[in-house]
Amino acid sequence: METASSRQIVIMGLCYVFSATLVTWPGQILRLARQDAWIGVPTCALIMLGVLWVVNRTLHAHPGKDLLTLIVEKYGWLGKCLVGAYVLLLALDMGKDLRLGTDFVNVVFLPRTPSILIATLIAATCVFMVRGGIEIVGRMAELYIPLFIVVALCAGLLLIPDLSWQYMQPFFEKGMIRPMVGVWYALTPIGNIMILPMMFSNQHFTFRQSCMAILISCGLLEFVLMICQLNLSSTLAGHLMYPAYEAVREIRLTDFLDRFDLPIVGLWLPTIVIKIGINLYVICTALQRIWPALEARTVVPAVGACIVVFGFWLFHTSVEVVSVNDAWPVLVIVWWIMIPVFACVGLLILARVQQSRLRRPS
Amino acid sequence: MKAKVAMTFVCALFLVPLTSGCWDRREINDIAFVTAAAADITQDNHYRVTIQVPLPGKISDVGQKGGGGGSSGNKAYFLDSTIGDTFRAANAKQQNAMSRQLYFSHMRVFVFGEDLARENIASPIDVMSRIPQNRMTTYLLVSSGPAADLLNAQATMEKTPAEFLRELANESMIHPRTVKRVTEALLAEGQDPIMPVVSWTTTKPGDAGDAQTNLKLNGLAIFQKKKLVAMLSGRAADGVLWAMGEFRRPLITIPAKNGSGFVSVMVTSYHVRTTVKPTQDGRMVCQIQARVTGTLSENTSNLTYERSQNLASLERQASQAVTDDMRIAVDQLQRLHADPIGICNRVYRNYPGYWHRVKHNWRDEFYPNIPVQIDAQVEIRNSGNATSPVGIPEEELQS
Repeated sequence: METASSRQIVIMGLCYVFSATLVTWPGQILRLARQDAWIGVPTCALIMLGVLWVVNRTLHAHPGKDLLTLIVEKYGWLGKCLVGAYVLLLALDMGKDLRLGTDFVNVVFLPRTPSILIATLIAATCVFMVRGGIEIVGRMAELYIPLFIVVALCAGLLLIPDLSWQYMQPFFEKGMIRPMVGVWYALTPIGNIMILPMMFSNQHFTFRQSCMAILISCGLLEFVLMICQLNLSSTLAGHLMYPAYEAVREIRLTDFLDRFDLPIVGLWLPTIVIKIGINLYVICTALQRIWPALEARTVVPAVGACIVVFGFWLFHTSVEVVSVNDAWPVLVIVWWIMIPVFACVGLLILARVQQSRLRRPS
Repeated sequence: MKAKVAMTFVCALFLVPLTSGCWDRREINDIAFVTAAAADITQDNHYRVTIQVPLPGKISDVGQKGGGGGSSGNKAYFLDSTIGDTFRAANAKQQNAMSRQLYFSHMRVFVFGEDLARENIASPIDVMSRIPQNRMTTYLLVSSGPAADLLNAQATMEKTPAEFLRELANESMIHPRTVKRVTEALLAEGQDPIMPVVSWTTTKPGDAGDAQTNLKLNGLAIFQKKKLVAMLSGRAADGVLWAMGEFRRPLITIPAKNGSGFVSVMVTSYHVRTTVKPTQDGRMVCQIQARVTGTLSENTSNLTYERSQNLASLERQASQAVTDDMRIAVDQLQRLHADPIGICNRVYRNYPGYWHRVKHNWRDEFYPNIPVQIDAQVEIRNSGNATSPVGIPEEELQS
């Protein structure tokens, strides 16, 4: 599979962080963290910037290699087990996103169409996309994400007259409990930024680009969260399954010019498909790292089909998909923070030991 | 190679059934667009749901004839009413008697019957928020009496009563009460919802014409969370709207100082600021400050208010009138133990610690005893196109 440009990598990073997140996440975080939810996003962005810095140092010390390759090469069978664990996590994440996207379409637009058919069509689109290589995924991201961001920002700006700024208060009503809850839920989307070093080496992807990806995506997440909070109030948004969609439906320019939800969702759904596609690509690449004889392109349809089945087998209802987000930050802490940090620190120590051996006079 | 082509062809054939359209396909001529709905409660605690569906074929030529009601031949809409255990159950019964599928995405107005509003408004709110076909931008109204009757008013100014009600709702406040706003107030701490009241009226065309049934805004429905507790009208309703900063196009009319007539001040802009602050003795005090700008729009007295020395006294009179309206409203609301202005919500947002100490019985003990200081300042910027009462000779004018 070909490579993507630096700009495409940043855009894919943005997409991976916010696209599927916007479906149910604002409602969940606002329900529990209420008016202190906004604190979670910048705090998690800082945490993930620290993790990315450590990972970037490691990639810099091993030019031309992504993190998955490094883990397999340097840690042998243990590395392959770790990569296998990432495959499982990404499969779970992909199944979750597939169900989220499917349920959204099912609940909002096509209530009578069987969910499995919607999921199959989404998965088939992802399969065709990923079989074309990461370049195709990158180009799709380049096409849809900037357009979606512009439209989402315009939608938010149109809602400004309807925002109630008093919904920000009271600050810290329950002390630090609610901000901590906000951090907990914000970890799920922002931790996803770690997908970038898993996919790309430092030849295409630098710390500056990861900073850009995380700052823009967190800015957009915060923007959507604030719009939901100030337009609907945290109490009402917390009662809704899709508050961001509901906020868009509040836009009303004139008496009969108020149907902005369709064009916005028309751009939003492809971004969810792109995120699922990125997951599918990384799963297939990771499988190739474990079994080098395997050709990633050939396993894409099989993996896609497995994930559809996996998603429906694991999550019976849309409520279960949302409930799993309560515990998902545990997986983020282990897979996206602890394992990369420990693996990278280990790799840096190994590299230093090797360097000192080389320098030692024989 | 041939096998691959054949396989692709077979796969393409299998894909054909998937491209024939989705399960949710609906033709526009198979849909009945509900534009307004009304809900009442029956004596045995069931819901009576009434829906109004415009008839596209008749909507263009009915203007000359008048809207009409019921199901007579010249009406531009179809009206049906059924009873069910829930709203959806009633809708399902309605669907059984319809050749088209009910579609609620264009429902602009929902009217609560007075009895239902006194019972519980939360159930319809749930349906309107849960089903994505419904929109949270739908306007909510309360009828004085049964809601079903309102949808059958003649209301000839518009093609259908639904459109008439939508315009009325839109004009009722600066931010008309929608499902979203009412739900926000239902869920907010220390705040109650409010909705405009609509009632029947008959036109008075004089001896030459026939009177027609019409609809009019008739005050405000005051709630204690999900239950209607009172309907305010007149100065009390105006005062609530002033205090909330929701009065759309207010007009202040006051008797002239010398008792010879009245003066009207048209408000062009105003700003209301409601604040709460604790006093040194640990009580909470509320201040409502209104800054109003307007123009002298009518003077039926012989007093030349247009002169700058008299304008100040008019401003004082107008300020007092606005203050009195708000005072009447606040006193009534405190007596009703209902807080649509959100005084207690401000206490919660600005002084959460204080609020948590008093919230357990805020409605009965805390809120009715909050001292509310009201201050309105009206500033008159011009007197229109006249420098004195136009129809009165100069010698009869008083300065």
